[in-house]
Amino acid sequence: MSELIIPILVTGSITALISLSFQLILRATGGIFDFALGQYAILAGMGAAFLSTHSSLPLAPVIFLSLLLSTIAALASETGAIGPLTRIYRNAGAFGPVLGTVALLWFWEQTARLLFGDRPLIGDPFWKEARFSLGSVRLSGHQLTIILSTLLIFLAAHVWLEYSRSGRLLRAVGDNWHASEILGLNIRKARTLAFLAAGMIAGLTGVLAVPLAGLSPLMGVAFLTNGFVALFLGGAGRTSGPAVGAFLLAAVSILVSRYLGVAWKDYLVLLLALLIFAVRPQGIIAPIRKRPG
Amino acid sequence: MKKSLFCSVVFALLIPNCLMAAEPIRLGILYDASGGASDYSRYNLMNAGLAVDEINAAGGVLGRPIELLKEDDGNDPNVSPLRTRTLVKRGCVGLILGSGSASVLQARVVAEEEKVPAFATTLNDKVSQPPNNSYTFQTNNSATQQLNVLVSGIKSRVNRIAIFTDTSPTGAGLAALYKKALENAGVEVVATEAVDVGATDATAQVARLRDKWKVKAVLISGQAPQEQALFVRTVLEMGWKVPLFQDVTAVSPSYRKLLGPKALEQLYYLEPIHPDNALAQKWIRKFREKYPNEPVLTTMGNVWNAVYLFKRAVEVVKGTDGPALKGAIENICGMKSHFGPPASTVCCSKDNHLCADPNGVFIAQFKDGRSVPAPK
Amino acid sequence: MLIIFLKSLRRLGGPFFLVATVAYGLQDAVHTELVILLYVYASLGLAIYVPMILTDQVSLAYAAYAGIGGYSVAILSSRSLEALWGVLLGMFLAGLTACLVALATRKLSGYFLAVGTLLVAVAFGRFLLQQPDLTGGADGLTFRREILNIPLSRTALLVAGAAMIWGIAVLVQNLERSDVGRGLFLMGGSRPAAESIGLNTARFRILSLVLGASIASLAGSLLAFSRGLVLPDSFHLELAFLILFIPLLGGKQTPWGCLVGAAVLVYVLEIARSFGPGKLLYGLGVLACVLVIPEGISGRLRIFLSAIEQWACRGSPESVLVSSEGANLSSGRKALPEGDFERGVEQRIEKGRHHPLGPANEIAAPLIVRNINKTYGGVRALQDISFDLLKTEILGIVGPNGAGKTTLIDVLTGIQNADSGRIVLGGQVLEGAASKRALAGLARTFQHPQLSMELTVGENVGLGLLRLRTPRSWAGMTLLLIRSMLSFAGIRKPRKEELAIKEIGQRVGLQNPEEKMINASFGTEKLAEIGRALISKPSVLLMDEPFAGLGKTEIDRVINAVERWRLHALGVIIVDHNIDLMSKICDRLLVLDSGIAIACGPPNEVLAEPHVQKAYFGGD
Repeated sequence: MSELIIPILVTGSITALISLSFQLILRATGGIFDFALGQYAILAGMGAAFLSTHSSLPLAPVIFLSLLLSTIAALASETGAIGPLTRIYRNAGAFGPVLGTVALLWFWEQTARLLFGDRPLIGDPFWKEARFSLGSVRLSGHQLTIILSTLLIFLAAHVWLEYSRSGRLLRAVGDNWHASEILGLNIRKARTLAFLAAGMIAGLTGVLAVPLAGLSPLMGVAFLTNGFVALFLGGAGRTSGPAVGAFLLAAVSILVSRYLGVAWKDYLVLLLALLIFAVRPQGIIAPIRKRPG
Repeated sequence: MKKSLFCSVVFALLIPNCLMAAEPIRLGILYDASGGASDYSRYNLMNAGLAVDEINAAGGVLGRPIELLKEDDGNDPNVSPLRTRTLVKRGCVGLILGSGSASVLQARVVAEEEKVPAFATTLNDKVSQPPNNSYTFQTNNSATQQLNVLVSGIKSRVNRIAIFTDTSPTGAGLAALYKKALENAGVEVVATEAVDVGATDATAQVARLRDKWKVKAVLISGQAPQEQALFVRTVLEMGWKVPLFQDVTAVSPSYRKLLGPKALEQLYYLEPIHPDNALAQKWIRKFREKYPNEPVLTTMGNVWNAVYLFKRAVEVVKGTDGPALKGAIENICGMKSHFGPPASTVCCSKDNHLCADPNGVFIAQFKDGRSVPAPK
Repeated sequence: MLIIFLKSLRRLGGPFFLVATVAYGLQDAVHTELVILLYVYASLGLAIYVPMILTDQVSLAYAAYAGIGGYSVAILSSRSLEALWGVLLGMFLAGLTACLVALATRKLSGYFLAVGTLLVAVAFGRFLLQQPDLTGGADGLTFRREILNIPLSRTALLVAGAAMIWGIAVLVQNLERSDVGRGLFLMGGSRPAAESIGLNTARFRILSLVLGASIASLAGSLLAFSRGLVLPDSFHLELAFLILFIPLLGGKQTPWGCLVGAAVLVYVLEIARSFGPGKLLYGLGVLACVLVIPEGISGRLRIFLSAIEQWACRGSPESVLVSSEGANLSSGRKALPEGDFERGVEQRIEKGRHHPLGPANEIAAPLIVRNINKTYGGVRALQDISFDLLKTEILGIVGPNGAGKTTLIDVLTGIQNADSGRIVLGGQVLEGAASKRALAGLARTFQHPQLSMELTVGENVGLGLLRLRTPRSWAGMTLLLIRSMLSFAGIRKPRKEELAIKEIGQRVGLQNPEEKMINASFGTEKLAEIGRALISKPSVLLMDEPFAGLGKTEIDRVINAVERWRLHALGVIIVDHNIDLMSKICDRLLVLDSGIAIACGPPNEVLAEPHVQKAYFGGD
């Protein structure tokens, strides 16, 4: 049992980061889910793996370039697709935006295939030689990097959203989209910031995840479903919601895989998701508060 | 008639020019250029091309050159039947099904409908079995054949063993398969240890096998090379000098890169290429000449067998009629094989479309930078 | 001649294209294979068309539903059972799965449905691999391709596939053109509007998803029959993405567009293999369609053809007769025969009851509202609101911004539920979904008119008649959908309905019912909504800011419309800001301030009250 703790923490961390990116975009666009987020992660991750095997660049530029790739993809999506969608369709959950983000998912998946091919690329683990142990629990340097990075990013996100001007702008826009429009808040800026942040976080997620088992363009769907379910399991209302949901989901998935088999994990995640959607879609733990419109 | 007479007269002097004039015999290959099977599929294409070149340089078949036509199905079984039919439409009288196994299963239905003999290079067990197999011949060792060789190799060396795998359904399934086969052969399977797909640490599993179960041999299996490589590297790091058995995964160049040279020496693995098999060494040499920057994938010997089977059948039939070719292939037995120990042959029959020699793979070790048969 | 040709092209273009594909497919085996693949994609496109185009829902489970159909056929056939049972079983199982997912996500935005269906697809793929005894695992199932013990030849499959496409397209087209279909289109544009004419949008959305899933299952069965083999990879997730875009490429206007869209897909994938990034271009094409050309390729073609038609028709004397599908109209106005309404009113007026506010005990209150409370997150939006609405009365609800007027409308119509209190209409307690309340007799108009822009003014008004015939039960709704699919009657409306529409149009002041909604003025839109609300003779009409955005003439038109109707045993509630106007036309005013009803009574009395003046103009 104790050997499952680290896999749960590591898997949970990866999902938590993607889930956080979802939340940022959700807030900044008044209800749009960028389904292509998983693909930004994959672009960065595969890019990092590709660069480290095919070039002699050291780690820092590799990471920088990979994050650049994912952020550019995110901003391009915002400018070219999501921005126009919010202007054309008043209701964020309408058919147009949903289909638009699915099209984005497909587009970036095909781009990744074009750039890097279909086969999974695997990266070099960070902090390769290090080994740590805490009682009976053992973890490698890379696993520790993932867990610590996630903690740091969540902390940074929290500080940004609570205390900085731009962060508060984003929260204001997210809490009441229509009021923000009336009040003349700079929604455009909030959106651009959110996509910038989401692109970077997703990119970092990919870079951290690619040494684990490799990434291929088709794995974006798994990022999407896990990130989405985690967001509503934990609650999209608070910054900590994605993290809580992600770790819970990881725990459930890994326990079920270990004791019942991987197939049951997929069935269970489906059932869990449908249950959450039907019963408490505002989120189990930190629900989104509705304000009078 | 006149043309071929002319050609045979000036055979020695003007071989290539001669063949240019004759109507080519078209052989089609279905392969995957970019999809999930492209890792090995493009090697199928490369080796088929080399085999065809070799045959053409030696005068072709019935004085006619073989023309290799290719179609890419992207490993998408929805598209494979279409591509296969296109090959037939373009005039192919023989097919090499070199894409992923799902694609091959779809494509062989077309081969049967169009009555064109097809050679499957996959190791999938079902490919050479009914239904839909009447025109398909498997030139690679099937998964079951390979399993049998591995199990008997283990049995002749140890009587208790542990299995290492991953927790994926494929990995778990493989482990169960191995366990059953080993126990049937009288080898005790003491334990099965597994890591999750994507795991980065296998120390606990190795420690348990070494200290708790105290096994003297481990069989490595799983759905992908990464976890298997992880296990081997961990065993090496922990300094445990135990023989590790593995299937044909171990000959893959990408897998070997994951391991590093030191780790390879502890492996006993299935290897199709024997140093004393002259045909095998010849094709490897030709491959290296033409593709010096590509690693050699030693499982590709079966593609050469496929091309030569086709050639032999055309020569026997003296034509390209589908049903006649099929009948001819079913009567070919004893043709020398491009892989396996020196005595390996290719043998097909009406009831057995699995044409690979059951001993085409053998247990090997990695010594002095190459695979050599492991001592008994 | 040109006109006839163009008209028939528009109407018959689809079937013609289908026949052309059959001819193409009969050439040789490769072509047959290609066309059968085309039919599979097209039928999957048709399957998606129903929920996606008619009700604006995005589902990613269509590959899985097709897989259910394919595997059902394969499993039964490989066990020597009749394959046709497999086809039916597949349709049932696919529909059931779709129903469960739809039920779980019915109250949520489209993203939840998309993710839920994605999870279904993943779980299904896993299931196929995990149950090798049933499904053959990764190697799939092979079976003999026969139906009723007759082996299927490729040609037979080609023709069967074409027939299937024809059948489904016709059924879907019938549905589209029927009243229910138009109601569904309205629902896609505005759920509240559809609810206001009595359509239980939640249930219809679920039904449309189930219908789509069943069609997808048929497509999967066709694929299975054409191959004699099913594999997990035949129904992979990528297929779900590819087909999602077929109706979009083909166009929203007609289900036959799916054939065009599928042809584009197959063509792109065929060219792509020599070209490279075909799938990427496909994705770009889809984005372009969503952002730039929402009507898709066949939609554009139709617009193009219409334009040519217009141009060709411009000089012709018959042009006045040529109009959109549906009504015949001769030019010039004629006096219309009196309807039943008129007779009833005459009688009532003769009885001398033409003053709207007769003694309270003679004219029963159709709407009784008691003790309505509504709180949002700490803010008490409505506090203990009570009032009566008398028949033939016009009650105005006014108040400064933030007084709670919108909330009150939402609570009355059922868009939101009150925390406590009771609403009774004609003796029946009003509760539950907005559609239920609409069926009980509550009609409404919207501040921003919610109309179907593709229809004419008259057709929009006619939508209101759905309130009279929409069934309430699941079974009733399912039967209605099926009947609509099977009836070709949608093209010509029954004479009685035509007359009703004209009558209402006249009464409400709509001068030109044949005008396309998209060309109509804002005032006409508002009147059309009123017409739609009234054509089904509701008991109460609730109007939300009817005068907002209108010029003087148009305001007069609306007032006239309302005045003419108040005599017909109808209660009217108007919510608006314009105090002057409201005091002129309303019999009573209810004044709200910060959620409390501070006054209720005839306008001149109410407006003289000091606390009303304080609420509007601040302190004294």
